[in-house]
Amino acid sequence: MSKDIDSLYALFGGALNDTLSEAQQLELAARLKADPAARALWFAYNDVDCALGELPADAPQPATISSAPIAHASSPQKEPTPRRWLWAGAAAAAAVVLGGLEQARHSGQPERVARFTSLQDALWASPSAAFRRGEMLRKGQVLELLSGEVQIQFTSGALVTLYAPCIFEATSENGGFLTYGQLKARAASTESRGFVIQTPTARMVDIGTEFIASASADGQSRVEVTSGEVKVYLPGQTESRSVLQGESFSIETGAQRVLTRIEAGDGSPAFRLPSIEPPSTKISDEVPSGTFTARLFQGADTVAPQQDSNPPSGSTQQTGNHPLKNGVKIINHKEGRIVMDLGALIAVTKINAYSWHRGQLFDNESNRPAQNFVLYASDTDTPPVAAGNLEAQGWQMIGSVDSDKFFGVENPKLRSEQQACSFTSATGCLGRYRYLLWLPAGTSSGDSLADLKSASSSFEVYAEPWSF
Amino acid sequence: MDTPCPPDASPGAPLSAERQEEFVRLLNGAHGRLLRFVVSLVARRHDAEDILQKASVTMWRRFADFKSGTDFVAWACTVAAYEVKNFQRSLGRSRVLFDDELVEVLAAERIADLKQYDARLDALEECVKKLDDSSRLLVDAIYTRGEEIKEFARKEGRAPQTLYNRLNLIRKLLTECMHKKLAPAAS
Repeated sequence: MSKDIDSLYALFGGALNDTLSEAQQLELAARLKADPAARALWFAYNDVDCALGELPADAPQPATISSAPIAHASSPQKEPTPRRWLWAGAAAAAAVVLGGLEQARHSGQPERVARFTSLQDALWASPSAAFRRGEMLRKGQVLELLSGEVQIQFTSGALVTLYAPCIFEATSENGGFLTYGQLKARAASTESRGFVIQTPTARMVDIGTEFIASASADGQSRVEVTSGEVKVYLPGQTESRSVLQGESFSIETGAQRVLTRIEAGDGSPAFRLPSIEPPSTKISDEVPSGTFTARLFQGADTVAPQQDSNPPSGSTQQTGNHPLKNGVKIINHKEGRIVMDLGALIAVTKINAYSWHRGQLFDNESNRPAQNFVLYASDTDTPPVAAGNLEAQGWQMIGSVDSDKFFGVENPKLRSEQQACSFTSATGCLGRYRYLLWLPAGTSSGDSLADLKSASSSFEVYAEPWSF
Repeated sequence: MDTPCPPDASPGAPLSAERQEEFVRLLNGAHGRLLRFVVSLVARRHDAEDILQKASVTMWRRFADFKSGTDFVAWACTVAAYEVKNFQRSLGRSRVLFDDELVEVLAAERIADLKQYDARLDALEECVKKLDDSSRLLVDAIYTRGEEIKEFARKEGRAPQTLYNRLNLIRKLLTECMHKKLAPAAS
């Protein structure tokens, strides 16, 4: 028993020291899952660790570390430590994270790298923060903006506007780290060429002149180029991807480094898009009927596919209002979800989704082109349950889209009638999967009917030819 | 534990000046407990601080949902637990110490466990006095001055693993000492 506890303590120590092997991590997790007493001990151990972090700086400091016993059962040699050190330390810790976000992270005086040029209704997380126009920003300084809008100009000349809520760190005179939120960067001067915005999942280099970057809480990054060109580097890759004016894409978290594009079509039957290919007209001819199976459930009114038993494709719809020729239709959006059986474990390289609806007759028809869903995949032999905790059931999230949020739709009637999104991977392959799951979500514009959609959807899955 | 916050919740109505002050006051007051809460779910203190930063933004955006006079720490812990899951999803699996299932169990139990922290501090204050000077030096270097253990080991002419082991032993002895003081009848 004592040995068990000793080994548990060793695992605790390794976890806090960040020195556990993968096998040890699994062992620690298993023991914590299995034993409430182990969890209680873990909490107490953590409290000890936290309290040690609040020791006063003026603690006795002998010259070297000895190998003598660490603790003594009998009386200590030192005067009692004043109780206040614990609380003083706690207050200091709070100040660092809450009150000190506007302060430089490093001691001393790091170099000045930017200056506040405009502050509109700025409210900071720290009650003591009171930045003024003209005030300098030092390297390493972290800004946590709760509300309002702030513009800063870097020494290089690059201009960055932060939109609350936002966490941003000025990392150099020509770049910063966006932990969370959205910003607009403009690098028009020669000196600011190469201005860098780093997010948790991407590095964006502005080579002229303006782009919008965002980083969401779940780690997704997005770049939208409003002028010029931005090069995007993904972790571990030396090759960049060029994003030109009018283009944008998202970078999902995870090992596959999923890239998501959302685009609007030109409204023609050809369904032309800036970079995503139009819906294929060949799929139903090339793939034998039966390879593809779509299953809808949990929605009494859901119907799909509508075009015989063939996969939905671009050949099935030639106009914006032609519901009987549509590929997939989901009416009961709140419960409807689609599971697609690819027929075998397939190396999937790309997944596109298209929607087309003009919405000329009724207000709610203009909701239909919106694409708002989360896409999951599974490599299991049998389809995992598509309800509850999906990841626990065996589904892996590929990515998500919300076209209304992406296009900034406020009036549903002004949505683009043709929309498409495309999931690809920076590594070339999204993964080997047998099943795909489309899970509808509510749109950012609050439209109650909008969903994965619609009366004109088509899903296309690309695979490596040798993977069947 | 249920995590009621949607991942990308839209900000609610603007808060009044009083509510803004209330938020800052509550968040300042709860910071230590929230950090301890998050650390126990992810183990890595730097990660926990990053997570708490993000969680504080979410709390701000959702503060209109918080009812004054109710338990702010419990509410904030729920938000922080959600942020832990988000954070872990952004990491590779190899970097995640605890999976979502375990995080939920730990989070649910840790909220109640935090109420013992004051008593633990009282006990720990006595236990810390029993550390010898050598151990206090190590604790001071690593915890108070924030030195990297490898760098400190180099300066001391010792192997890093030796100091890791010593730190583990210090924490273990302090934990046991604290437990004995809190449950004298059982010892």
